[in-house]
Amino acid sequence: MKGISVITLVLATVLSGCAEDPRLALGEEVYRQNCKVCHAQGINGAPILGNSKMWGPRLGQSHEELLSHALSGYGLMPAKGGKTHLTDEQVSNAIFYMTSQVEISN
Amino acid sequence: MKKLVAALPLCLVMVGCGGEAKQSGIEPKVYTDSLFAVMKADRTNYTKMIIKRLGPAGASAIVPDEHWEDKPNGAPLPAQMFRYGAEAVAEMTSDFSYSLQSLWPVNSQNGPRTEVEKVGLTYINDNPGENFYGEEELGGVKYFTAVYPDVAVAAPCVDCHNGHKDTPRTDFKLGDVMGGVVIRVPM
Repeated sequence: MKGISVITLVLATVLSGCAEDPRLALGEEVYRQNCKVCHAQGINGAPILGNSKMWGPRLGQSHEELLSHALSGYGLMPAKGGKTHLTDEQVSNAIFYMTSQVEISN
Repeated sequence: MKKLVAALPLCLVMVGCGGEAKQSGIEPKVYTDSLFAVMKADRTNYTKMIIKRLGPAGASAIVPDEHWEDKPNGAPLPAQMFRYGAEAVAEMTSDFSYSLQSLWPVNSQNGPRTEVEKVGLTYINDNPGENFYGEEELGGVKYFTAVYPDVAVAAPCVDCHNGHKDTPRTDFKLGDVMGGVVIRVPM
């Protein structure tokens, strides 16, 4: 399911004249300021950015499912990673960015 | 396999005759990163499988508490469990050491003691998600010292540190770097 949304994202990007999806740049900024502290390290089991072994099983899930986990908290991750000031859209963009990095590293 | 056996004495002869022996082995950074991966995994598993499952958020069969020894069903906090591991390793070997330190330690003996530790802890605090790697000489021995961030990942961590009578800092938030894991390897 996630694979389909990634393909859709890639197709949309290609069709729009190879311009990068703006959500990725926005998501990267959100990631850098809020998510990196855990997701660069794998703190408390957080999947490490670009680590295909950790992200692999998650790529089988839909974006909506990943977003739901991030918003509500999942495993040892608190809701929104404890960054409650983030909007749902910002969290969504951060997920788009993080999943895009798995594709690139593969 | 026979070829490998035959090549071995040849290598030894060449090295003995002044041939340059290539240094082999694991890079210090890969070594400390690997050690940290094991430490992280153990700490995560203790938090997830013991504290969360059996503590107040789960079956409530145990009481995770700083003063766990004073309670019949007390259990060490994940950070304490981590320290006990460091102490046990220190009793076993001098090949490497590790410790959990902070620029704002609840216990003052857990503050940085060397300049590299201080620089490293400051760096990981200023650059969330980044590690610090440095070298230092202590007692005539050269060390590779790595500092990895320790993050406030749960409300109890934040509440305990902010509310502790000995804390030098009371404004920690979820996601803040509270300290760092210092791994030191002699070179």
